[in-house]
Amino acid sequence: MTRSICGQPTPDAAHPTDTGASPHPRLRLDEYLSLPVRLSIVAALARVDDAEFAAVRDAIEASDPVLSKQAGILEQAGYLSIRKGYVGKRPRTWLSLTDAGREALSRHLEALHALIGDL
Amino acid sequence: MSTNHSQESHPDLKEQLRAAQLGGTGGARLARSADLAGGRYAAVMASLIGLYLLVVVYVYPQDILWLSIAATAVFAIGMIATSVSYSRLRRASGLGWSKRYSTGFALSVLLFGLGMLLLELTDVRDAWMWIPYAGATGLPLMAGVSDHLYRGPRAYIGGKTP
Repeated sequence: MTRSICGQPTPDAAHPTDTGASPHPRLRLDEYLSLPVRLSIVAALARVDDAEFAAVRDAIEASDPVLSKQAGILEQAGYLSIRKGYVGKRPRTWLSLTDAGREALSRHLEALHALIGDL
Repeated sequence: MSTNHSQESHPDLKEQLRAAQLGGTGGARLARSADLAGGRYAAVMASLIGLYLLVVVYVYPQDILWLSIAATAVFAIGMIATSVSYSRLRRASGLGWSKRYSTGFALSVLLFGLGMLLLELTDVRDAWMWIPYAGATGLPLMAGVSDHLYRGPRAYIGGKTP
């Protein structure tokens, strides 16, 4: 189910409302992706299968704590998968976008473009 | 249809779009460098497989023990060192790279095996045949990866770029 920007669950974008019309694009905005830094993380990861934490941090020009916190939230939402491991003795963290995250990004971007086009 | 809500959040929406563009640009940079690193790795592996085929055809039949051991050691150490250094230096994998690499590697190994079978059946060791065949053995490995480098990742959020 899509979550609106106001935090209220909304009907699935693929299904028409009772009136037969598609829901307004703002109702298709995803609350998890409405924070710009989260949107940057997800948009960057959409280009790759997986990426190391530091590579994502550099790609979106964020700090370690910010990326760590937001990645944790996206993981809880089911949009991101976080894998920890070692290369030699050095710990490494790998981030990858889940299918749900990829779909959410697609929906959110479509809604954003539609809303901005409306203005 | 414009609503009050969308008008009020106009700057926020633009900011979100900019954030998506920033992430998309950074991700594209990341994917490009990952593809280049993966391409170099695949090229080294393809060369090693092709060279090892030539070792099997020309070096092993000479029955010089130390040369056979040295050639095998160079091949094994080369494979291990290449894999280890790639996994140490890898910062990201381009979309679909792993699948393409695995398919290419499996096809290269299959061609290597067919070459061994051909050698066993015909015992022909002409250079005009084996040098091009050794090159062809590494081709599937290179083809998938270079195609990926040239054309870029295909699947990307329904073909839309943020």
